[in-house]
Amino acid sequence: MLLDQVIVGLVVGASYALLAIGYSLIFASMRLLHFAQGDFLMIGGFISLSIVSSVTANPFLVIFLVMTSLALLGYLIERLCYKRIPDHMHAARIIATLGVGMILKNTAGIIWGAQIRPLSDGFFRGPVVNLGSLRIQPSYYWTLIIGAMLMILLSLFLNRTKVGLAIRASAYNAEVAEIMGINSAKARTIAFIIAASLTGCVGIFVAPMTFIHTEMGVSLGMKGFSAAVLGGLGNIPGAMVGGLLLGMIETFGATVISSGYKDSIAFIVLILILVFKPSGLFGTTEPEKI
Amino acid sequence: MKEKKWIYPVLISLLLLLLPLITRQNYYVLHIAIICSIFSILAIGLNILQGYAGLVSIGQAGFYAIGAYIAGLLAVKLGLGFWICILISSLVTSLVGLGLGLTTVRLYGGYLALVTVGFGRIVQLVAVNWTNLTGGGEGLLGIPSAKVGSHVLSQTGYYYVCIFIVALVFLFTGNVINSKTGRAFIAMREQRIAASMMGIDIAKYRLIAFVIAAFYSGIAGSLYGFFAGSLFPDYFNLSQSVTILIMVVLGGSGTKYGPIIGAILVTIGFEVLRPFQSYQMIIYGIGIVLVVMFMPSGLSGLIQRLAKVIKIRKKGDTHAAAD
Repeated sequence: MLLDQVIVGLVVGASYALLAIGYSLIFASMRLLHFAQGDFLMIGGFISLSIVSSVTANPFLVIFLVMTSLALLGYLIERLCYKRIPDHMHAARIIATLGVGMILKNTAGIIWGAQIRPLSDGFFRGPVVNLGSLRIQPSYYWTLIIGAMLMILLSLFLNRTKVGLAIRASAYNAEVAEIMGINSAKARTIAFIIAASLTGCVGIFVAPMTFIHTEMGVSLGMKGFSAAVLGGLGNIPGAMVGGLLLGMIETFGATVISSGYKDSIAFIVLILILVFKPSGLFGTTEPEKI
Repeated sequence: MKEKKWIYPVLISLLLLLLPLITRQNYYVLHIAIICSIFSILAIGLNILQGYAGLVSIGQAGFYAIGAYIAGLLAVKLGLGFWICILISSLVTSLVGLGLGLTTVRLYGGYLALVTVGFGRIVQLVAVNWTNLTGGGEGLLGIPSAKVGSHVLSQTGYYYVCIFIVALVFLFTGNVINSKTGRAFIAMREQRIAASMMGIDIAKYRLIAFVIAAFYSGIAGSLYGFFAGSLFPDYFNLSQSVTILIMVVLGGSGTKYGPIIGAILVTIGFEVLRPFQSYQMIIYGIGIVLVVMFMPSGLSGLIQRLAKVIKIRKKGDTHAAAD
């Protein structure tokens, strides 16, 4: 029973972690709180639905196609909108992301309809794994395996490639990076594209639990945010741990309080962290300069 | 020029007072006008917080909901009168504002915005889940019509009450902004550290801004409750908070008339877009993005820029004539 909860917590946490990585990548490189992230997730879910029903049902191919299309969408949105608003206009940038979210959600409603739809049965194929008394569904272990793979690939990309170095450098200090010959605007765009495609992928992972509908991104998006803040916004390894931790806290918290309030756990964690340790669990606190 | 300054306010108030007469008490026009005034109050409150004090909040719908539910519950469960409901609910709402202000006292910018989003969502979750008090998803029903004395207000009467309250809120806000408090808000928006070096108690003025904004939201919420007659948690969602923020930004944050202009434009804009049905929200979203991309200082900023351009042109003309 306890182990079951741990598995569920890990699976939910893996999705939160991927979402949180997206937020942190965007925040680190663009200093932008991207409120449309949940809607990227929702679009990812719907695109996977369309691909499964019309192109292919091979999970890996579907994930690859979803990530590609979300990358394209992210590129377009960053190019057409976010790039054109100067960094110092905080309120304007936040509102732009909210506006983009509104456009995505309602466009999805028109294209795919308002009804709640499941991802086809047996999308994640495989035998049910029995570990002692523990039965692990295929969708659970596939989420964990693919999620872990994506995180490892991302870490390798950020730490071992030149482009990854450019992203990290311009996130650390865009001006100095530019002096060193890094095109930091390009680095930002690449970071945003990666974040968008990872988020789209989460739309597939959560589909067995939440189903696919236009509102699916609303509370998931905020939970990803909470996870990112928990690990320290802008801190990628922190986001991974924060996501898994939040998944655990939520799964175990739901056994204590009534399930209607389950969604508020993430917000309470968010508020507590922001109030007591805004730099996140693993961040170093910057002293107030007054 | 100076003697004529009073003429616009007088003309506008006359127009507002005569609106029911001009439109022959048209139900639809008055309905929209009441909604405009409720949102004006919300936007004026957020303008103090966001426009003057520089604290972005995307959770105003949370305060709006608290105000509406408390007024509604007082009227339904305890049978209290209209004015006393408004008073109690806005006082309670400002207490909640004080609480949120105290918890977020060290947060700025995006972090603060995040917490306010969380706050709005939690309020909504409570409204959905505390079923025996709020009625949950089925709504809080049967809020009686507003009464002044023993006289049940008609729609026209309610319209007058609303614009009267908007006028009070507007005048009070103008006085606050023109006082030491208002100057402290602007100082901490522009240069927080410099302001605190000058002896401005940042924490105190932040709390004042939060409390005033919450107080106004409480008033607006109670007005909405008595106007709508029933309350549903879905109404007080994130997009409602965004809408209030958009009103402030569109009108021009940190300006006197901006929030009212924004509230009127957005409310009427919604009505104009209604025939587009499912495309309504897409057009609204595109509108939002275009506004922040091309006129981030809002309509007031745009008008000021135009005025400057015209002035320069005129100057250029006189120079040309002199040559």
